[in-house]
Amino acid sequence: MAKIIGIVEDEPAIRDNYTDALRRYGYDVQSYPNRQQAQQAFRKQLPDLVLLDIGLEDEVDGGFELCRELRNLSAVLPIIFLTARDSDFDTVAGLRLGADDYLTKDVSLPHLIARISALFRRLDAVNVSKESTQEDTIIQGDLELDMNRFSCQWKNQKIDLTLTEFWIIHTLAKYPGHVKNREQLMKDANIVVDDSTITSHIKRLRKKFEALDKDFDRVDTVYGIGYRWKA
Amino acid sequence: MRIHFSLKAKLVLFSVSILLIPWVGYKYVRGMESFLKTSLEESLRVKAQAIANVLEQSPDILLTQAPVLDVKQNTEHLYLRTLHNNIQLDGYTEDWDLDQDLFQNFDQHHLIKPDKATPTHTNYPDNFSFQQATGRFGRYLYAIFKVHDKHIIYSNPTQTLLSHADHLRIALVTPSGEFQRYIMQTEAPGKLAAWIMQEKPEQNIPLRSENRIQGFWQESAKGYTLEIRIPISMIGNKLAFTIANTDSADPEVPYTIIGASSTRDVNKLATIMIPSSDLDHLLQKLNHESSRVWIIDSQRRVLALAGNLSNATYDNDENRSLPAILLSAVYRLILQQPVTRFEDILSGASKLNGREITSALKGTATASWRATTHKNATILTAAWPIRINNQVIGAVMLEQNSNRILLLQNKAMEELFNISIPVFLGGTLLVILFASRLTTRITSLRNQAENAISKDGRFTAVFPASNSQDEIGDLSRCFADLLSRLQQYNQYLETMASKLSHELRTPLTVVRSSLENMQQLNPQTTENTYLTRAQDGVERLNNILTRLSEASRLEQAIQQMEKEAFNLSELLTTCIEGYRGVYPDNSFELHLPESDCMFIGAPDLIVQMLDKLISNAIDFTETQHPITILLTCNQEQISLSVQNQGPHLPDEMHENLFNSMVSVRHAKTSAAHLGLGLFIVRLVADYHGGQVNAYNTHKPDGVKFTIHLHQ
Repeated sequence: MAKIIGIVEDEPAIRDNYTDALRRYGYDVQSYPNRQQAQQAFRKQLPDLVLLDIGLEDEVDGGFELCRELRNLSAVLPIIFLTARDSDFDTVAGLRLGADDYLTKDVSLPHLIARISALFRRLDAVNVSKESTQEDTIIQGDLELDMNRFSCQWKNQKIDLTLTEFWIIHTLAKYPGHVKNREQLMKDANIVVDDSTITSHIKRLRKKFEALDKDFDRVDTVYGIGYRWKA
Repeated sequence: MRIHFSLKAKLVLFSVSILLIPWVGYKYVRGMESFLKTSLEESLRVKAQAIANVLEQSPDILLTQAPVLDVKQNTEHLYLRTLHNNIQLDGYTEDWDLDQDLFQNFDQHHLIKPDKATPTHTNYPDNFSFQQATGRFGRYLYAIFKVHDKHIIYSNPTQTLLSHADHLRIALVTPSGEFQRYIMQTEAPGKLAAWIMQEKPEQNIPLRSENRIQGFWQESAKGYTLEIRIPISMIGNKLAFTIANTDSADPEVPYTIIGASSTRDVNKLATIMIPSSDLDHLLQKLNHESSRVWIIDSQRRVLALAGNLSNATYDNDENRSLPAILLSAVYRLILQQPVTRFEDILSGASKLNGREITSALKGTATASWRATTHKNATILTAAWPIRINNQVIGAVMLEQNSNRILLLQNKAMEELFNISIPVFLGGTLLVILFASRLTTRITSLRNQAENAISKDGRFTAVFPASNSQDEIGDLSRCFADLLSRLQQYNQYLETMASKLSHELRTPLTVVRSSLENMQQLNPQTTENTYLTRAQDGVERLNNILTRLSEASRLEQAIQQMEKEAFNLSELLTTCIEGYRGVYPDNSFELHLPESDCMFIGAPDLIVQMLDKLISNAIDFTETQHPITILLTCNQEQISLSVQNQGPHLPDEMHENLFNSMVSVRHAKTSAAHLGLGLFIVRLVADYHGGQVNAYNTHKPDGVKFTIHLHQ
């Protein structure tokens, strides 16, 4: 059975474009122009994944509201913010509300679809028993990255990362000691944001690790160039 | 060069025009002079008339007074003035309290024909002259003769009779009508008595000595002084003095005789007027204190005289406050003051010859002005005829000096100044206060307006609008309104970039997703160049939008940024290494201080700032020239400079360079330039409490950006 994706987007052209593209990839798409309609429909039946815009018609923060409600309805429902708002503040707010990822509208369609399928894969991996092969796992010291489930473990403890954060860690940890500049990180994470957004992603990443391990210092800043994974 | 007056100076200058008021007043008071003169003339004439009328009412006083009235010949006349103190017969003039002008001068013009026709004296002795003054005190007539004589010849003591020597001759007519002649000579300085001469004038033979006529002979520097005393009772209505001088004891040498009239002929003797107490008292009563009154007979001879012109009429300075005394001292400096002492030719006169006398004796009253001897005062004279039985028998002449006018004028002037100078000072003070207040307000408004916008064009403080209701308050409110509108507009401009990028992003996404859909729908269109170009364009647009919102995102990021201590030297070293990799065509020169430079701040922001500066320098430099990065570091301040060789900044852009959306690039370059790079530099510098400046450098020409950071 095809997965159902709910799109909440007030701009009809974008909504339709995304709908068309996702349908082409075999997803079942339900689209809503505003919060009220989406809320009604979601109460009846939850989709398998939701793409949310933040500003919805006359509600500036309608998307945030919806995200909060959806999280109440289901703790595991994958939620992706797809919005024109690219400020740090909005990114942080969205992720705090429990969204799984935060993408700006610069993202290309293929990349969006890759993200969606990655999220689904992770979801599936939780359900399916662990049978992945060794090659799909990157082990770097205490760090263990499962490429199938997009899950990350530090000293055998699971760290909840967004997809963007996962890609960044993956890029850095794959070749320890190599300095990755921001452009490379962006390219690998498949996001088009400016340098300062990368900086804030890195900061958040560090904090997540530091929450588990106070002495975490593997993500090293190389001023003016980028970041590297200290082995 | 034009002179610029401040508002205050202008107002004070205008207030000086108040000074015109005392000036006009001064002119007016000066103009009053002729009016005052006329009125003084009139009052003097009226007074003269009044005195004449009184005399006409009591002709007895006048007629019994002078037995000489019937003398009609044109002879000399002597009016005997009353002296005010006793005279010591000692040959000194000090006890003569008369003014110098009372002395009458006699010299070669008053030469008396010699006694005989025998040897005519051919030589007039050098400097031979004398001054004579007469007066009455008590029962005596006093006379003093100051004789200039080079060779004093005293009489020979061996001769019993008169010697050939310098002497004084006296001739008089006694009250009983006898003609008497006397000679006074001495053997040595000291007391002397007179000799009565024989009746026959041809012979200088003494009869006997006359002890009632006393004298004292005293030698002086220029000759001798002879002081004599004659009892009034001896004198009738005629009297004459002459001084006979010889320079040799030889009797053959004739005398040189000078004097008012000859002592030989009874008919040629000068008439004498001894004032009667009745007339004197009358005149004293009638006369005003500061004027002088003369009564003359039809022969212009003085019958009576009272009053003094030289009376000082000053206010007494005692009992006045110190400021008033100071003020009057100042006025005395400014204003012409009345002369208290002056010489008047009439003081010693016994006959008056003025025009006004002539016309008064003809029956017409007149008044005229004349100057004193030294022209330091003016004297007004008014004469009025005295008529008895319709015949003019004499005249009253009144004199007054112009001091009264001067005093009146000065009084008016003082009052004028007393009023107008405080008014002027008060007015000026008010104007100055007002001007200061006005200037202060305008200056503070100017300073507020200047401070409202900083040098780099940013709004610094809220402009405080004035509550004052007048025009300056209005101006202040107008400024406040203007600035707030400008500020709003500026804010709009500053946020426009991020707003614009946000608004454009949605339609861009429409285009982009549509293109991607199209591509996926028909994979064979992948080769379609138009689609590729459209996607390239979208990509570029996207980049532009990202840059546009970069600054506003940075501003937000800054708010969440945390400061940490880090080594700036190390940061620079790694960064420059990075740039060498990124810009392989350019070379970089890094100058670091010898010791590590620790700084507390946000390293990410510093790096971002450096990125912008370096990218800016790369854009404007030619590849063969290195880009110089200089770091200096001390206890208080850190300065970081990035210098490149290349075209200069336009002068007018120095301050604006670091504002949002300002770009000085001329050439079109491939990358989009929105003028936000240096704005970001400024944001970072501001965050660290520092300043950023751009300079043009010379030899080699280039541009240098310097960031000053405080520790």
